[in-house]
Amino acid sequence: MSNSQNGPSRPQAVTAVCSIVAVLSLLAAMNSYQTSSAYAQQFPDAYGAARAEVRFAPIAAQIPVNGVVGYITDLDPAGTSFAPAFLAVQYALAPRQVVLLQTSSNKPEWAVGNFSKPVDYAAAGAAAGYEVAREEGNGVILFRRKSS
Amino acid sequence: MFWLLPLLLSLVSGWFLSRTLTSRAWTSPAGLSWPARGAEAALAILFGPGLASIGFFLLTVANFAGKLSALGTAAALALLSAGVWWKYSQPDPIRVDAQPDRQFPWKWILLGAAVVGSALFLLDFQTASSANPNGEWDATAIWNLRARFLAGGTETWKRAVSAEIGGRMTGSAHPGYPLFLSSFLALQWTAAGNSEVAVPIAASLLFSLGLWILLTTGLASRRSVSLGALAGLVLVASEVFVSQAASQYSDLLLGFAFLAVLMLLDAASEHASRRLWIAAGLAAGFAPWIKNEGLPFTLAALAVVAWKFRRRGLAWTAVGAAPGLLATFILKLISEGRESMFPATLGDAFSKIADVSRWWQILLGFGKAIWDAGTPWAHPVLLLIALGMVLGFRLPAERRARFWLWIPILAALAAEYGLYIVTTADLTWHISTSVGRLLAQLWPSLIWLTLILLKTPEEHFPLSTIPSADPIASGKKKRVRAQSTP
Repeated sequence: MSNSQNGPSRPQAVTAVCSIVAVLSLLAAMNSYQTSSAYAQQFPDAYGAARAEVRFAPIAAQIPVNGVVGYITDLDPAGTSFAPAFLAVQYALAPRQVVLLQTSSNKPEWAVGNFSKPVDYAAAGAAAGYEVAREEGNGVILFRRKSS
Repeated sequence: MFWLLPLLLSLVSGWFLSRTLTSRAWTSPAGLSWPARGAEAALAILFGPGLASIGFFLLTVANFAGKLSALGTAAALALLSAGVWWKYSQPDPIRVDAQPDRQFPWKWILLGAAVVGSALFLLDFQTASSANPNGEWDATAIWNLRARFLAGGTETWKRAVSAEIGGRMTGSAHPGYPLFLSSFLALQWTAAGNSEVAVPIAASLLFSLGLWILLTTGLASRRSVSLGALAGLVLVASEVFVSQAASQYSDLLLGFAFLAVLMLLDAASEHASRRLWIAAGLAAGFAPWIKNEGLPFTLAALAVVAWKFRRRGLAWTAVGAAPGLLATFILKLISEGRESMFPATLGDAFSKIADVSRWWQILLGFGKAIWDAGTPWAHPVLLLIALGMVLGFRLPAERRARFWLWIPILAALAAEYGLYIVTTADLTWHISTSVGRLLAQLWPSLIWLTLILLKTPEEHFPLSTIPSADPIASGKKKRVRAQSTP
């Protein structure tokens, strides 16, 4: 601990400013809490990970934990919702690996469909070389690679 | 709840190590021992999980990771640390400061406010974690995801370092990102045999609280209780800290390691001891094992150690840093692909460096991050300025004696700035999605570096004339133990 060489000075000012700093800090912490509460109410499960865990639980039960699955979706890869949707599915199915079929060099036997609205799932799968194996509802489809 | 067992074991091992290595760093101001005990406990939260994380990673790479081996690793580390403590501990290692007894009469008000501030922080954390139990974007895209791959066992752990991670998308695919946090989570999940969502929440809470406790009690122990309480208050007033705590990211953990290194090096500058160098080295080695931004910090810290403490200090610091650096080296060897944000050629890099508009844009980005670091009417920078104006600076010689502590932090800042300059990602996107987190890494250290330059509130009050009831505090039994450097 260092010792002041100048002796005591400004004790009232020190007391006042330290008290003000303490009060302002607590008010700021309260403000952070209010902001956090508002954010939490507005954006629960902001990136959809918890929802994805519920939606894709039936798929997780059917694919072994060391499995690799392709990913088929109706979302535009250039759109802002594509990446969060993909990552939520990957997180829900991990440690199974989910690969984007357009960037992967091989086609896994199974693929998971993640659709934002009802579409022709068979056609969506066929475009990627897959056929519908099982519809789990809520836009979740298990596809199987077509035998060539 | 079985995941609690490896967590507790790692904390126990951390405590034994912290107690053995760092007791020389702390003093008991006015006979109070809780600041020193608090700082030791805070460092336990860094040391224990850090070594457990490395142990589990090595186990995983050797294809031996499983429920029993994970638990065995945590237990072995606890036993080993207990053995080190048993052999090398000192009877009452905490020094009682012998300085004249100046008291800040409102010290207890500040301490009470700091406790209330920490309670508000915990409420904030609870609210954010309830709403987003899996954390924010990078938690599900990077840190927790890789933990799930590591916890998957021998057949899936390589996915954590595979180029396929994150669908190879920029911003999500980081196969070479360090694994402190992910490996520590995977250890607990592996031991528990499931992926309980409470594990990353508990880890985030521990690391955030550890950081807060280290800043508060470290400063309380080494400078003054009032200054420590003020530091804790300024930190909970920092939106940049509070908002990151429940994110389940690695940035506050990195800030924790930064602060630990600086505090321990500062202590080593006063009481040269191989134990303190090893402890500082241990924390410095963890930095690149936590995030890539930790590497320039660690290199700068080692350079500073070589300059300030010469060969002996460097050697012992390097011994401490070895586990973290070795784990990082192995990770870089086995991770596939390269970081997509780095330019492919030197020409690309130079063209970006020569673009002055990028330098300006980054400067504005950091400026905005600092502005966003707190609410305008109680901004932590304003609070620090107010404290600086009323408390005043220490003597120039005392200030100059500590300027070298800024070097590792400035090196980390320069590296982060440099990464933005050469990034191949869209600069606006890159800055907006990461600059706040980068500031969160540096913020606690910046608060500490600022406050150690100031006089303490106690120094503005006259020497106490009322004899204290506590014989140690009143000076009757003041002592400084012999500095027998082991």
